[in-house]
Amino acid sequence: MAPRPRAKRLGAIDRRSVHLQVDGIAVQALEGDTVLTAILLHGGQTGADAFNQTKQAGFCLMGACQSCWVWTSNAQRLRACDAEVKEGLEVFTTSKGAGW
Amino acid sequence: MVTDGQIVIVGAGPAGMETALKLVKFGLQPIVIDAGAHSGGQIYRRPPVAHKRSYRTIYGADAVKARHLHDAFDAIRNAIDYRPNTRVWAAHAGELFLDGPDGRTTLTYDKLILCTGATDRVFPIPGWEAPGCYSLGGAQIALKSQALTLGDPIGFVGAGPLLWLVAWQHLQFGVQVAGVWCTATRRDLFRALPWLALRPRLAFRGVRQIFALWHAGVPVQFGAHPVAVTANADGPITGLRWSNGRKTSETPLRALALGWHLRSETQLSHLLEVPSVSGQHRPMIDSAGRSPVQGIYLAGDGVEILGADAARTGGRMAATAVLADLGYQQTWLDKLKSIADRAKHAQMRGFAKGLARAFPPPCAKRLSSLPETTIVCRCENVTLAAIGAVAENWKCQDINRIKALTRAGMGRCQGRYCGATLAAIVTAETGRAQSEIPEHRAQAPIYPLPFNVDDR
Ligand SMILES: Cc1cc2nc3c(=O)[nH]c(=O)nc-3n(C[C@H](O)[C@H](O)[C@H](O)COP(=O)(O)OP(=O)(O)OC[C@H]3O[C@@H](n4cnc5c(N)ncnc54)[C@H](O)[C@@H]3O)c2cc1C
Ligand code: FES
Repeated sequence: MAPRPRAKRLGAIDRRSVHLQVDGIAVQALEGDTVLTAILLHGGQTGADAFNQTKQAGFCLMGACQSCWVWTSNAQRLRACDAEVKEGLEVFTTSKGAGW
Repeated sequence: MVTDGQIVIVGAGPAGMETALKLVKFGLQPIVIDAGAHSGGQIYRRPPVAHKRSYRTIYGADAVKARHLHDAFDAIRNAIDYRPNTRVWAAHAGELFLDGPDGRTTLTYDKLILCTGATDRVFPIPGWEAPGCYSLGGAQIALKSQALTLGDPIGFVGAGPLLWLVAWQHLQFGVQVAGVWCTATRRDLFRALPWLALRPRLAFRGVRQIFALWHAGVPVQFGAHPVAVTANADGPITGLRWSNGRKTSETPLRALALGWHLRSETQLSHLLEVPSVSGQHRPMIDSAGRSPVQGIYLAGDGVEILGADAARTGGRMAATAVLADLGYQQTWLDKLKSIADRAKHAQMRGFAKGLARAFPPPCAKRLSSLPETTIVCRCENVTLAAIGAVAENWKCQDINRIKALTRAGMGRCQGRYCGATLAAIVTAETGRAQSEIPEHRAQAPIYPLPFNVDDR
């Protein structure tokens, strides 16, 4: 069973749905969501840090700390906090969706 | 005919927007570069177009100001060369290096106005590397631009006006606020009252937020010390252990936001060799916003943390300086407005002094006596022990040396989120004042550059 996500929407939900894949799992988001929002709402985390493999879930949300990197299927790196979701987008984290 | 040359503004927050508005009034066509997808900067950050929330919902008491500024900037969009989603990642005299929708490009300038704003000033809490810890600004961005709370319940720790504001905003949205732990004491606050009284309405707004939180039953602590962030073995945070000096308690949480006021984004002014005010780590400008470097002007939180209203007056003052240097004549009305702006600016500096006194950062001794395993540099995973050893054994008095030897401050965030701690550790080790130790030197690229396998 997917772990209960920590983040929660507080309104503004009358938006078109957008479908993406995170680590191969189908995720439904709303138009205007960032990739990080989509990941956080689905209990996921972003890439593990390079040193002690602790998972990350963003920190600053303003494109400054760089702890929210994800990768697209053509190996392009994205900052999840300032990339908007797009229909059919495929992203990969290294966290394998475990844990939270 | 005089040619005005190319005028470039970096940053489309209140400072950059005001600068552009004033220049356009005089028929100039500045280029405005901004990292964000929408203009507005931090305080007047706009949600994605698909959101249909009202200004009142998003900006609260600042709704009218936000709407006016957005509308005014939208109205000049065709008169300027506005480039959103574009970051300046390096600079040298006369030239900027951009990374944006068209890939990597360069841009020359004759006049450059840096309005780069600020980011959260954070200090470490043992265990803060676990997912679920965020900066205060991050929690506010989630709320304002994504209609999202990062956790429910969520807790807030730190000191500064943003601590109370962001906690209160979560309360307004019906989120359970598990606690607000202010590391400043009530005494700090009272002692700052004479300065805070310079802007009574703003001070009153802050007091009202604190009172509303307390009234709603939110545990509010002054003089609190965060002891540790507790987390599951597999990652996410579970709570905050804190002490009030007498006893230690633990509060369960699903997210924690932390921040001790803000720090200026000064990387570009450093790269462009704008000197700092002696004894203070902030870029030197004259009373109109001119730096000593020919053609470079600064305004807003990127030069000194004075808040949104001061960013606007600062932006107008910098634009006035640019116009004067280009030989434009001001009408007497413009001159009067400039005098009013300067007076307002002075008042806001006084108020900012009050805020700095009311909400001091954690003391350096306390930081350097945190458990040795505490991670100071989140990017490169450098612990307090590693930094302490270098500071002690090498008699390091310079955070740039510490950076070279430990990699702290060299990672992806370029020292934005550990620089203040490194400076505090050096002051604790050496007993010297923070103003006496050399500044953290900026390095290009100031943001990591994206790379593609098919990069051109
Ligand atoms: C997260 C956050 C939340 C805040 N919330 C509030 C609030 O609710 N109320 C309040 O009174 N104050 C708030 N503040 C304080 C606020 O920053 C200022 O009062 C005000 O926004 C300062 O305006 P500014 O124009 O100087 O900078 P900002 O508004 O920060 O704008 C700076 C702009 O420059 C851009 N920029 C910076 N560097 C580069 C670069 N190298 N290349 C391209 N673009 C760049 C940034 O993306 C940003 O859009 C907040 C600050 C932060 C950091
Ligand atoms: S969360 Fe900090 S850069 Fe994305």
